[in-house]
Amino acid sequence: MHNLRRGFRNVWRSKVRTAIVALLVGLALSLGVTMMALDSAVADQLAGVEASVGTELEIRPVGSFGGFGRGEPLFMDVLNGLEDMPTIVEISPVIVYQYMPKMSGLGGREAIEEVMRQRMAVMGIVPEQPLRVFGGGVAELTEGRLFTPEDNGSLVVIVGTEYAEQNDLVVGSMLLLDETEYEIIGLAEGEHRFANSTVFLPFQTAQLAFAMEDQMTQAYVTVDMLPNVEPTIAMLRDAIGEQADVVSQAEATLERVAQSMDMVRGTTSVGLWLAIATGGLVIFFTMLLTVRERQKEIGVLKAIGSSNGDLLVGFAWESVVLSVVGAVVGIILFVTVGQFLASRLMANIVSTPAVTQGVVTPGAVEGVVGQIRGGGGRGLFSGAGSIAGFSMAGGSISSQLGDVAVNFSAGLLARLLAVALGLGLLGGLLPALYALRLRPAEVLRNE
Amino acid sequence: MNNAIELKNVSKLYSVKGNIVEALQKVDLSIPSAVFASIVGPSGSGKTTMLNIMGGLDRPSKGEIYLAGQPFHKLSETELVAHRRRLIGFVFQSYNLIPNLSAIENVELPLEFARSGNTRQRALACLEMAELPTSRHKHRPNQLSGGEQQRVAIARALANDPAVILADEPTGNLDSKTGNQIIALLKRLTEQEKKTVVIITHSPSIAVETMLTAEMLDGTIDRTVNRQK
Repeated sequence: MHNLRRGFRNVWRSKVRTAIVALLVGLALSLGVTMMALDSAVADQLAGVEASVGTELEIRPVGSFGGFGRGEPLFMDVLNGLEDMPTIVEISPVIVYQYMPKMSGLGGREAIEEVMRQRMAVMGIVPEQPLRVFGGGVAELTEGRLFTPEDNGSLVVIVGTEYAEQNDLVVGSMLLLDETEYEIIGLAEGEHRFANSTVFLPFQTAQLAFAMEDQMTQAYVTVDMLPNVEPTIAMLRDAIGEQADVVSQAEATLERVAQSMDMVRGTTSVGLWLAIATGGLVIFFTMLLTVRERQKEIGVLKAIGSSNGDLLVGFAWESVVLSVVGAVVGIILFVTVGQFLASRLMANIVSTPAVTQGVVTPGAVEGVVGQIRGGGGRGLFSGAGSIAGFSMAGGSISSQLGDVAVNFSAGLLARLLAVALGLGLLGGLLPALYALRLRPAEVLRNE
Repeated sequence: MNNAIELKNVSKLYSVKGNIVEALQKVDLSIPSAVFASIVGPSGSGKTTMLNIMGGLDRPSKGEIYLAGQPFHKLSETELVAHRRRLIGFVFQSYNLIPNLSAIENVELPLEFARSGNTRQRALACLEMAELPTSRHKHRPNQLSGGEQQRVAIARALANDPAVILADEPTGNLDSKTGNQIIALLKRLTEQEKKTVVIITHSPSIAVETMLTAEMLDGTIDRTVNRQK
């Protein structure tokens, strides 16, 4: 204990010097912790982006997009055996259908307005699967209940909130679809207006409603992890052959974002090591100076019975305490200044063209959808497939990056203290070893 | 009478800028136990070198050293540290107290290095032996006079109850009155505590107070004066 206590007290022998050294080490460590925080933030964001878009594939009819464009619906047997692939977690078929009401007894502008009001995007969803929306994202239930397996084949629907509002529908109301009444069991809302205008049917109900027995318009495939996406695409293409396209939702976008983020992480990594090296050098030279100043004292300590171990522990502890004091200053600097600067820096990084290129904001999704909805005269969704597909992933990435937060956490504190401990031990080691080599007779002779 | 310190044919050579300097030349000296001894001689005659070799702070180039019967010339560095800690107390001309420790903490240091229990009690006893007033125990060195600092240094030397106390010009920085008090204290340690005390001094008046004086000249013992009754 006495060696530790003495080491601790020795730090305060020259308060001015300790203050200056603590400030210098603190500056270096605050820069280091800023780099660590940025790295963590980037890693979190990247993980979020990967989690949100990275591992989902789509199987679509050749040349079509969500039931639009060229191509025929797919037969369910396309999926046979695919679930046995080791990298596939889940396969979820859907039916995407554009419902256009038949208007009898109306004509001219009145008929067009009624069609516009009643038309809907229909999604046939396997019960217990998320309420996927064509164009990206998932709708969440706001009222009522979700589909259960028992609902498959039953005349029940979940209606988007905007569609329900426009057509005065509530939970428990009946919805007329091709002269068949469906009971509304829930209302759902998504990230954009298009989601809110979607009507969801149980998958088998949709198959029956639109005469698509044993068929689907596409299927979502969830892969276990991002690195397996590419090989899974290859395996699926081999298995399915010419029957369908296998498309990765946001592969290219994700790659671009990942490259940019990797670049940022590389920079923070260099900054971190520079900061650590600077802090280490400050500790090293301070301890070297300390040892040289106290040569005679070291000689005296040896003369009165100090072992090399006692000296080593004393100097190492002094160095560690100095480093930890620097770390405390570093934390204060980070919390007061560094965190703000790091957040601003991160915001700038996120808004750089390298990161945002190709990433479409949720507003853009809505704009695209609005354009689609307004294009009735030329056919719904015509030519919009590729844009919407890109937007679906892009909107998600952009919203993830928009939430970047550079915060001080317990993990960061632990890492900072570990770095300070390491710096203290390494920075103090060589000077302490130098102290051990001093011969008491030589240093005392110089008095 | 047993010898507390025995030097047999001890030489110490230094290499200075390629030249060999013989600081000690085939020195033979025996200092019996419980004797107050002095080493005198002009500057550069080898007094401090001999004292350092006696205390195991330096190693001889040739010869044998026995301290309390232990062959210091044969001991490893670790053994030497352990024996030095147990057998020898050092007192220096400029006191060499640790500046950020109080008087009593300075005395506790050798006890802590020796992993002794109850260091505070033993340190108090040593300070009492060194006649430092209790009111000064918690003062730091820069709050003490030279004489008081040297008393603390002597108490520190006594901490592990060594057989031998080696003092390099312990009165060198003190006025004559205080110096005489310190010499009287060291003398009492010999008489009452049966310590073997060896001091280096330039003062003939102090040397005559000691029982044995080794007069050094050019690395050799020119003359030994034995005043033991």
